[in-house]
Amino acid sequence: MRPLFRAIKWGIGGYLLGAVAAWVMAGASGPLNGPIEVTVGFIAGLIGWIFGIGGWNNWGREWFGLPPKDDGKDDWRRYFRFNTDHKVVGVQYLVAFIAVMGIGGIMAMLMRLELARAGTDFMSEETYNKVMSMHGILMVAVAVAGILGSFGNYLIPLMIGAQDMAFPRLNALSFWLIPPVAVALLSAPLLGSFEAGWTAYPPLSVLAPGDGQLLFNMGVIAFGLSSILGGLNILTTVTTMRAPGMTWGRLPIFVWAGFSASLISVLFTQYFAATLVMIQLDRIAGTAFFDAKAGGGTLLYEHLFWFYSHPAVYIMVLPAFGVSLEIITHFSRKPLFAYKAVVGAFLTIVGLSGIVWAHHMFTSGMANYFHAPFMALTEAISIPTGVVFLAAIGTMWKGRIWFTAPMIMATGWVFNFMIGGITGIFHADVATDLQLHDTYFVVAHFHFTIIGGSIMGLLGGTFYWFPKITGRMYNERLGKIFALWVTIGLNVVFLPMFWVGVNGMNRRVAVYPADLQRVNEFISAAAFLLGAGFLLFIGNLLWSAVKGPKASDNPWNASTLEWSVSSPPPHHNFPLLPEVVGHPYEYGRPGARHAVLSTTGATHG
Amino acid sequence: MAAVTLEAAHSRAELLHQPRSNKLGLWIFMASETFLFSALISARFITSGVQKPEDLNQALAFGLTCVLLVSSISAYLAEAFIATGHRRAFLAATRVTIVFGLIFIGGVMFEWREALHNFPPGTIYGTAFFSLIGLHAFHVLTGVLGLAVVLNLGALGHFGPSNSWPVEGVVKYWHFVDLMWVIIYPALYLF
Amino acid sequence: MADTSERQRFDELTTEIHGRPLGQRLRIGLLVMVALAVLTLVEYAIAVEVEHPLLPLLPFAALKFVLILEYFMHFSAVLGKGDH
Ligand code: HEM
Ligand SMILES: [Cu+2]
Repeated sequence: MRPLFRAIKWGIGGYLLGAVAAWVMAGASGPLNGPIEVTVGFIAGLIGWIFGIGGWNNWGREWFGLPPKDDGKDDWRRYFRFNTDHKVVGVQYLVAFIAVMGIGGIMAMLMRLELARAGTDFMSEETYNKVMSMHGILMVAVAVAGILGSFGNYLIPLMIGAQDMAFPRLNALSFWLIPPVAVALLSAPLLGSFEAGWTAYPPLSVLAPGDGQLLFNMGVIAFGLSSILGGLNILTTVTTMRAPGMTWGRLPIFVWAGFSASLISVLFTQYFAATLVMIQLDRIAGTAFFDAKAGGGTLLYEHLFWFYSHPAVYIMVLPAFGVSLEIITHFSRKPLFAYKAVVGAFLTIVGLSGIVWAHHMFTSGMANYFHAPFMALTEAISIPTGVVFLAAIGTMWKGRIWFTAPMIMATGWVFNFMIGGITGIFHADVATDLQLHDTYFVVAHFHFTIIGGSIMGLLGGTFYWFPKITGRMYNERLGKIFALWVTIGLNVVFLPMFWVGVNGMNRRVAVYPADLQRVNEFISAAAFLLGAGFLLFIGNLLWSAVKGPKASDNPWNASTLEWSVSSPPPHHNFPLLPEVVGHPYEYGRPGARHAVLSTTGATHG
Repeated sequence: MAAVTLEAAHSRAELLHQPRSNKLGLWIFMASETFLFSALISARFITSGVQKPEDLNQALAFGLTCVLLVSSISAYLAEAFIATGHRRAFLAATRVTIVFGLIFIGGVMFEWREALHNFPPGTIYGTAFFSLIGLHAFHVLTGVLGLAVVLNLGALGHFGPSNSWPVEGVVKYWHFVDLMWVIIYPALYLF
Repeated sequence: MADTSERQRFDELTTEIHGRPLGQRLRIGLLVMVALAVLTLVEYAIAVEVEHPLLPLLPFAALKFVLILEYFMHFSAVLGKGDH
């Protein structure tokens, strides 16, 4: 635990040093927690933290010609230090983001408590805004990095037959950037919190009195850096580290999904970083990006922000597409239907995702001639998405389906994400969107897509790979109950939100028309039940990780490479590189093999 | 015996993929950074079109462009020298690059003192000017730090014809910073 | 450890214009630098003469961009090395 304490010490030290230095430079007169002090303090603290946790030992020493220091012993403490093993990093991500999801969930419960009555009961409207903003950004972070960080890191090297990621140290770095992000977001209430939602629209984000917005900006920029580095690592790993014979056409579909999502996160994330830098500058340096008086404007923000944030929804769901298709294939005991079309669809989605952003801006005052092209382009995305659905259904068609907990999650994903996708069309259509924008219809839509599309992939994948990661089996009965609970509960909670949205309930408000109260009472009650269901998930996994029955190497009898090594896998995954000889999903084809594992013999270059 | 094989296999695999990975990783990183620059450059055009104030210091900006150009040829030479085993020449070229990088940063600081007065950040051109030049100068600064690291290691005897990746990487990054200037310079001063 | 042929492959991968003699490299570098300097001068001259020369300047910026990308950063080497 030494490195962790050192990181905390250096992080706090860095913060103080930076803040005081900025304070002195600014004339040593204002408060020590003024905007500039907080900004410089956060940057210095972040650097201190990174150097403390392992940056110094891994890079700093090298820069000065000293030999780097290694990771230390392989006991449980490896999860608490800068560890370069991709499997450790994957577990770190998984646990951290499930915890973040828990915190965001508590916020959701508080919001539903407030919304159970039409007026303001125990939160002021301002407090509600702050709780809602916190919920939004935490959950968005889970959806963006949950699957890519955990399964992406844990499984991609295993699935392509590599011994680690291409840049193991960078991988550890991208995880250890996360704790300061969490600290920044969660400590924002100390500085008056942020209330402009996860979208941080100006002018509110520039003018709101709470300096918590500064911590939001800095934290999310650091988070963006983490996802850029993570994506960079995945792209490079998949390109250069595939085992002999693992051609692009033989990659498991989850690898393709992670690859496509990484393409987006590497390129587009910079736009969110840029917009937050602009807000930060408007707040601390008096620039005029979003100051209409001086000639700036908020349309600029919306364009740049959605240029990232629409592609970002595909960072959220593409990895989950991959997880769900993996699960569906293995549990239908059939080859993945239309593999090549799915890969093509992923890449088409990546391309299209970059040119549809203005569908979030139909009511923004942007020029009208943008409406039709952005409507058409947006609706074009339903074509590749439809291909993914067809592949899922085509794979199950006449398969020998084995309904385990992950399979229930994956089939539930097909259903729930479809609702999210179909209701998206109402938003893409200009005529309907003008009515529906900023109502609860939107809230219902993106929860079906994000929970139904992304979080269910995360949950299903957690069950599916649990035996591989922990070496133990989870409780199947509880797992099935939970999978059904989420699949059905999601509909019970969020379907009525479409209705209240159409009937005039605005999003992001604590107060709504009194005649909608009965429905909201119902939604709140259902939400509490759905939230409580997650205790089942956590309990099941915690108990099973310690006390569950030992799992075999390949409990699902699945064909991809991660199942060919022990559970949990040994340190370098494969003693010698496996040789890939066939497609990954050759179920039911006699004599077909995906890979040959040799324990002796030559390695291949 | 088994342990030896495993370690050997691991290091062998690393030997083969690491150069490609490093190179690809750096290119991906630069592509990503290009997006960051493009965000701020498009902000410049969206908010203020091609308008620019009369009192821009054109001579200084042209001079800084030349400074950057000289520094990129010396960086190019540093790479060529170390790749062909001329250590002394490599060290000299790297030093020259660092000095020109520092001159560039000094020039920017000088320019900012005037600019703060003529078109402060609160004006719409000032917003674009300070954010873009600031972003670029920050990249120059990190480039200088990178060059300082390879200079130090090179002086300690690291690098040679078969082991010049760190130099190559830093130099590529340096050229990348120059590449961004090729767009920023006309976008802010000339268009 | 790795045998000599692997060593050789490693070397080839490490330096992309591997094998090109120093003199040739210096010539390329100087030529490109002169070209860049001339292009910059012309850019500047156009900007002095023309009011808002966005369109006439674009090809110059593009050309400089490509020259640096190709001759200083060896961009096409990335595409060429795509074995596997
Ligand atoms: C039981 C689970 C959940 C419930 C009951 C819930 C409820 C809510 C509510 C009531 C809002 C506020 C809408 C408004 O006032 O305008 C909201 C916003 C939001 N939620 Fe959830 N939520 C849940 C889970 C999630 C999850 C898992 C995610 C993402 C992975 C998520 C992402 C968001 C986002 C992005 C917003 C928008 C915030 C904004 O627009 O600024 N939620 N949620
Ligand atoms: Cu969108």
